[in-house]
Formats: sequence, C-alpha cells, structure tokens
Amino acid sequence: MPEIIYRAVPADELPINENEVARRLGTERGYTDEMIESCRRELLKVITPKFSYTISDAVYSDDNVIDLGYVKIKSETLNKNLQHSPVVYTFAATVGHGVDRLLMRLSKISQAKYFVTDALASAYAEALADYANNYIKQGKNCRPRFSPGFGDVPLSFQKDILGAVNAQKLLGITLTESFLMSPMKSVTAFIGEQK
Amino acid sequence: MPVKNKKKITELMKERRIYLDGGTGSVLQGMGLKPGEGPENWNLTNPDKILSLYNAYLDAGSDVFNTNTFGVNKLKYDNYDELIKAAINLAHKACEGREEKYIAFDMGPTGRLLEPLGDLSFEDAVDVFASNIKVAKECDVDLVIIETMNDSLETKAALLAVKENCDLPVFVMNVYDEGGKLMTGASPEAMVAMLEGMGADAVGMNCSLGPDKMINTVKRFAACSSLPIIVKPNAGLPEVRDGKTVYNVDAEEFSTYMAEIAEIGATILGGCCGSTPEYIAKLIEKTKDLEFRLPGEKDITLVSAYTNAVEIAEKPILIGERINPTGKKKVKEALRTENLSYILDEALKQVDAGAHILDVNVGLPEIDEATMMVKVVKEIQSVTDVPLQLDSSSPEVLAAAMRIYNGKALINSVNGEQEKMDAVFPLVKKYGGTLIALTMDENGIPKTAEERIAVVNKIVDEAKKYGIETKDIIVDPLALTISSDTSAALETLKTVKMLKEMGIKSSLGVSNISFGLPKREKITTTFYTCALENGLNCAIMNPYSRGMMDAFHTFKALHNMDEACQDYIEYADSIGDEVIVSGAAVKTGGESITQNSSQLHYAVVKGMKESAIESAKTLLENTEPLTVINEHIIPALNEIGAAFEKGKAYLPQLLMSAEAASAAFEEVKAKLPATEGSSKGEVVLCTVKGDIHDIGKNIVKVMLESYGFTVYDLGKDVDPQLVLDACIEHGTKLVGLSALMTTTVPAMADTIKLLHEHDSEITVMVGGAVLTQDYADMIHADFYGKDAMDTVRFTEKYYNK
Repeated sequence: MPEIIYRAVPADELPINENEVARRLGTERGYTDEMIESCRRELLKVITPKFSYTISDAVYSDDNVIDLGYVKIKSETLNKNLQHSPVVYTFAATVGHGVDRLLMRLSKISQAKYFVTDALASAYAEALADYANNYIKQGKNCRPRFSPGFGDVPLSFQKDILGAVNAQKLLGITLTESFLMSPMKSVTAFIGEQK
Repeated sequence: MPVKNKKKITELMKERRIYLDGGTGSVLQGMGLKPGEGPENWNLTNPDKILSLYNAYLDAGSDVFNTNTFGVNKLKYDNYDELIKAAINLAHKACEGREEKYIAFDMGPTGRLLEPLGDLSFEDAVDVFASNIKVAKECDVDLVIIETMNDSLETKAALLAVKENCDLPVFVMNVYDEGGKLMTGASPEAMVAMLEGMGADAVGMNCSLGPDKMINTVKRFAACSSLPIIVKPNAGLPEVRDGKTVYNVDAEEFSTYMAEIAEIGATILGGCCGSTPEYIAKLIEKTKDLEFRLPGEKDITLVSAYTNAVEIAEKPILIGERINPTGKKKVKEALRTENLSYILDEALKQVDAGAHILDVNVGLPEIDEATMMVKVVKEIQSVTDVPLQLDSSSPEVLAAAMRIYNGKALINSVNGEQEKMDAVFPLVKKYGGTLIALTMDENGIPKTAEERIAVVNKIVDEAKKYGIETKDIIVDPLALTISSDTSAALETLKTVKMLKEMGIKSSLGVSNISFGLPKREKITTTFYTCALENGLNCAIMNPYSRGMMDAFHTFKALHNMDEACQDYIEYADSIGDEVIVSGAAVKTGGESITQNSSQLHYAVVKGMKESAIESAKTLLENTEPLTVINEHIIPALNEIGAAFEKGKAYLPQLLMSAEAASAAFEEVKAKLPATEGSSKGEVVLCTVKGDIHDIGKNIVKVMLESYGFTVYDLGKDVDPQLVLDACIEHGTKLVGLSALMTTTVPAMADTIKLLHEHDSEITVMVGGAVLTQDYADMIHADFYGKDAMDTVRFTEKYYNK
C-alpha cells in the first residue's frame, strides 16, 4: 500500500496572511476595496487547494549526504536544517490549475486585476504550505520546512520529490523543462522530525 | 500470440459487457515494488512478476488487460521502445492458451503540461504519443487505451497520434473530480463532443475517485454519449488507518457500486488504483447477469471549447460576428499589425454582450491566414471558454485551426460544390466538428426553397460517406438582400421552415438581408424574429445591436424558453445603464480634484475605464486630440502617480488609472492624423534571461503606454542577443531591463555589456525587486528606477531633451 497521504483543503479553512497580501500589493495593512474584493471572489471560485506527503527514514552520512530512500541529496544547507532528524516528511501542495488559468486570462485583459489576483494567489499558496506543515507536525517536534531552490539544493530534485508524493496523479503537478512547477502556485518542502 | 480468430473488440463491445483489468501498483507493491517507483522497468528486470500480474487479472476474468506501459514515453525513458516491446511480449505470453482475451496498449499522460499553461507544445505532445504507437503497432496489440488524462488538449493530442499512426480501436478515459470536471476544467459533455467527433470507439472515466463518487458523472455520460461508456474507479480514497494507508472501499462494496453504475448504462468496467484481481472477480460476478444495453445514438448537436459545451437545441443561439476583417477597419489594422489584444478585447466584449459562440475570420489577402488563424484561435482560447466558429474559405486554414482547437469547433463552411466537399469533409472526419453547410453549389445560389433543400440533400448524402451524421450539420439557407430581390426573405424563411420539419438545424448570417437599405438594423431585427418563428437555431449577428438582443430575449420569453421570464427581466434591468462604471476608491478623495478638472481627468484618477472612454469621446468632439492628451490625460496620471509616490494611493489603483488612461488614449489615437501622434518615443522592455517574473515589467509597460510611449515588450526569459536585435530592428536607443532574482543579475550585466559594445549611446534603465543603486552601478546601467513612476519620469526626461 502506498505510504502517501493526500488531503484536499477547502479554501475557507486557509487563513491567509493579510499582511503578506498588503506587502505584495504595496497597500497599507488592512486596506481593501471593491476591486481587490472582486478579485478575491473570482479567485475563490477556481481555487482547489490540496497536498500530499510521504514519510521517510533518513540516513545521514559524512560529507552532507542525506538518504531519504527515494533519493540521495548532498547538501550542506539541508543537512544543517534537518539536524539529523531520523524521520523526514516530504510534501507537495498546490492551489490548482484553475488559478493558472484565471491568471493567464487576467494577464491579457487587466494588469491591475492580474497583479492583485497574483498577490492573493501567492498568499493562499503560502497559507496552504503552512496548513500542510501544521497538519504534518501535529504535536511532533519538527524542524522548519525546507524547500528546494534554497541554499545548495537545486530545483532538479523536484522530479524526485514529486514522484515520491505521486504529485502528478494526486495533485496534477507537472514540471517544465526548467524544473518549474505547473500549476505555478505550488510548493514542495522537507520537514525533519526530531525525536 | 493473441488469439487470431476472435471478434474485434469494437464488435464484442456492442454485444456484451467488457471487463477491463484493475490496479497495477496495488498488485506489484505486494510483490516488492516500492511506493513512488515506476513499475515499467520491471518489464526488463522482473518479467516473471509482470507476467503473473497479467495472468492474475486474466484469471479473475478480465477480457481486456493493459500492457505495463502506462508511464512509458520518450520524455521519461530513453529505452521506451525496449520497455514497450517487452511489455507486449509478456502480454502475448499471458494470452497463450486463452480464448478471446484482448491486449490493450496502455498510454498515460506525457507527464508535462501542454501550452499555454505549461511548456509542451501540442505538436510535441502528438509526437511523444506517436512514437509510442509506432512501436506498439509492430507488436500485435488489439486496441489502444488512453487513460488517466487530466487535460482535454493532451487527450486530443493522444487520440490524434493514434488515428494518424494506426487503425487500432481506441478507448479513451479521463480523470474527473467529484464535481464532474477534468483538472484543467473540461466537462463530460465537452469531452464526449470532442472524442466522438475524432473517432474514439469508447469513452469514459478512470482514477481519482471511488465508484460511489463517480455515479453522478456516469449519469451525465449516459445522457450525452452515443459511444459505449467506460468506468474504471479507484478502490475508494486513500486514508490512514492504524498508521497505514489503505484504500477505503473493499471489493464487496466496490462491486455493489459497480452494479449500480452498470445499470446506469456503463458497459465497459474495471478498476484502477487500489483495486486487485479480487475486485475484478467480484465486479464480474455482480454485473454479468444485469441487462445489457448500449447508450444508443444521441441526436444532440453540440459544439465545445475546453471546458464548456453549447448545445444547439430549442433555444436560439447567438454567434458573434465581430472578429472578421470584412468592412471593419479596426479589425483589418489589428490583423496587419498583429495587435492580438484588440482582437481579444473584441472576443471578450462579445461574450459579455451575450454571444454564445464567436465567429473567427482572419481572411486578409496580405497576411498569412493560416498562421494568423492558429495564433488568434489559441489566444482567444486562452482567455475564454466560449466555443468558436472557425470561418475561412480556405480548407488549409480550416485544417490548421481545427488541428489545434481545444474542443469540438463549429466549422464555417462547406457547400454543395464537389471540390469543396472533397476538401472539407475529410477534415471533419479527422478532427471532428459541427459543420455549417451553405445551400449553394456549382450552379450558384438556387432561387427557390425547394432547390436549396435539394442541395442540402446532396450535402447530407455525401457527408454520410464519411460517417458524418446529420446531427453534426447545420444548414445555412443564405439570407440574400431584399434590396435586390424583394422575395428573397420569403424564400429563405420557407427554407428554414422546411429544415425544421426535416429535423435539421439551421443558421443564418442575418445582417445580409438588409444590405443596401437605410437603417439596416430594423430590417435585420424583424427578419431575425421571423426566422426564429420559423425555427431558426443559430444567427451570426452583432451582439452589440440593441434591436437584435431585444428580439432574442423577447422571443425566448414569449416562447416559453425563459423560466419565470428571468433572463428577460435581467436583460431589461441591465439596459439603460449606458456606462458601467467600475471604480477603485482613491484615498486622497475629492479634495485634490479641482473645479476645472474634467470628467476625463476624474475618470483617469479614479481608474474608471469605461467612464474614461466615454469622457474622451465626448471631449474629442470639441477639443484637439493633443490637448486632450496634454491637458487631461497626462496631468491625471501625474496626479495619481504623485499620490502613489507619497504612499497615498496604492499600486492597484495606479494600475487601474493606467488602464483607464490607455483606453482613453486609444480613443485619441483614432482621431489623430496618421503622421502626427506617432508616439512620444519608443522603449524596448523585457525581463532578462533566466527570469520569468514579469509583473514589474508589465506595470512599467502599462505606465509607459498610458503616457503615450510605444513599448516593444520582448517578454520574459529573454536572451541578450534578442534585446540587441530589437533595438536594431526598431532603431530604439532606450531599453528597460527587469529582474527579480539575484541569480539573474549577471544576465542583466551581460545584456548591458552587449548593448553598450554595439552602441555606447544605448541608454539602459534597470529595475526589479532585487536591484539597488549599487547593483545598477556595478553592472553599468545608465539608470536605476526604484519603481514604475521613476522609470516613466526618466523616460519623459529622456525624450524631452
């Protein structure tokens, strides 16, 4: 049986960080208006947040090689983050294709709406990553999450990560030739659990 | 070898229920396959286990079983051909000694997303699937199964690859969510419309859900499919029980649901992830004695775009006619200059005005019609899911458009000329589509209704030779102008009535009826109403015509096609508000807007696009265009720009203002004589190589354009050489480069170096979140813009010297 856990999350269970939104929009904290709210409404019609994760027993060797079972990664920064966590969770999360489609449409008809919707969608993706993080943590002593593309962990590892959590089938996430995820507002990360 | 003297699967499926196999991973994981490991390599490393997988399902009673090739293609495996051959050889072994077993060559998705959302081109996708088929067909399989497809366009690519490379029967299954949608949005009705038209032999759904959650979608298939229906659910959903992940529907429950699904009308049944041979055995036991009936021919006339199907039935259908260069100066110009955003705008406006289908015609002698048609169709399909009418007199153009069209298109047109029919029918056979047939032939346009019907019969008979059903033909009996023949309308109306009696759908380009007469809309509208009364289904018309829309809505209300007259009431309430004002509240409020400032100034500051357009039009009636720009639009932009820089207005507001200003600008430009008002200056803009963040650049573009500059936007991830090429091509010496990531600052440096080496007078502005004055100096930029307004000011200064 697959050791991959999948969850779909209703959008209204994702508390987005309004400060984040304000920062991206260049507005003051708490500011909103009809245009921003209308963009939010349209976004909520098409957003489908979901994530999947798998659990690995991690083996650490010298020279910073971390063996997660489905892949071996040599990385100083990841090693520092994991602090020899015996168990490592790998997850992928996405807000779905509907968002990409909406953004593509808006980019051709209104830069203002595109800009606002993009900021909101990024905030939802972050909120989803936090949700997944907390769901996985649930009372465990965990390290902060670590995403590929940071430090010395290149994006090329996305292939292995997405395979390990069956992201294509469960979440519809595919990779472009330059290792960018489709849908765009998707997140992958490792979380180390300390015993 | 598979048993030779057995029925073709396409015959067998019409006589009895067909049983597919079940999950692969679930069985192989029991034999040691690790989660996340693809099973295809086992074709070479563990062939005995794959053989026992096949045998297990055949023993359980499957009629059709999949070769272990689901994830195999040349993008993922260099030795894809080896893996395919091995899988099929093992399948032959499994069939030894067995009767009436069918080997299905299994193809899953490519693993990449197609353009425009992803980066795999349609033709590359077709090629990937074609490469698989070319190997498989040499190895003796009975059919092809395309399954677990999430995207309608990728499904089209796969089916096309099969049809273009072999004669094998093909079953197609997509993944639907609980709401009955594909991941990229298509509905069962839209998929069935497309797949039937392209010659799939059976259609249906697999994966993602357990059988209970598929029931509603199966019902929708039963209502719209004329082909046998395939259902292959998961063994429920994975859930965690006692720390282990299990699928939550067991074989007993699974088979009970499948019996229900069989009673709804699915005749090809199997299982997907989580299911095992036990599931298949139980499924067969519970369904084999149920009454067998095929879905039956559905007399539904349908067109679709990627998510959305429009049925042509009782209610009249409006086809927006505005995207057509004939008699439309602005469209002609947009096509000549490849101003696709004008065309997109027209598309969206027509949809807002109520068009159900959009006609797309780009026939201009001075352009490459096929290339432009493909571009325009792709662009329109990226912003709206309204089905399109592909309109061209050239079969080559139609072929190019039909090939990449995402859905089942309306094709305009074919007529009774043998040459035309010989050219167009094969296209519909290959790509599917609903065909408009004009009642004319080598003898011209017949005068009487009876003669036109004779042409219809000729066309219908010829179409049958290609397997094209009457339900997929919509006849246009041709509206000729009454100004040259006063009985023209009567003959056309008579023909419409006869078509209705024959059960054939009709369409008319209604405006033709009034050509040459004054106040044309009045004649056109009454003619339209008469035609509707005689049974007309579709009209190619102007959705902005108040008269036509009045006729449309009132006709429906009067003919019991509008429950509680709801549509009509909504329509009636919406008209009379000439200008829809959308606003963003500006924090500065009204104080800074002086008594003297105009309606236009106010609209721009407030970001009210529609109002800006109206005010500009009014103002231009008695004001010089350049005055409108310099005394109304620019000061308004400066005002909101200053407010933004002081932190009193926010970026979204600035953007709304820029859009309002640009729209007003378009009105002014139309009034400017051709020589004047060529822009204030030109700028080449791009996001540099390695970076795909373009919002900042797009904001700068919008701001510069709203101030009257011409912007050559090269897009994102742009090679330094292309920037230089653009400068040389346009003779522009002002460049703006944007980057958001530290890793791409070197690419910016390279671009600047290349530009300056070529011509030290090229001025380079740089911007982007990662940049600072220090970075900018380090890479020898000529100007660092900390935000869009900064860059605009610099550009203004640059061109005012």
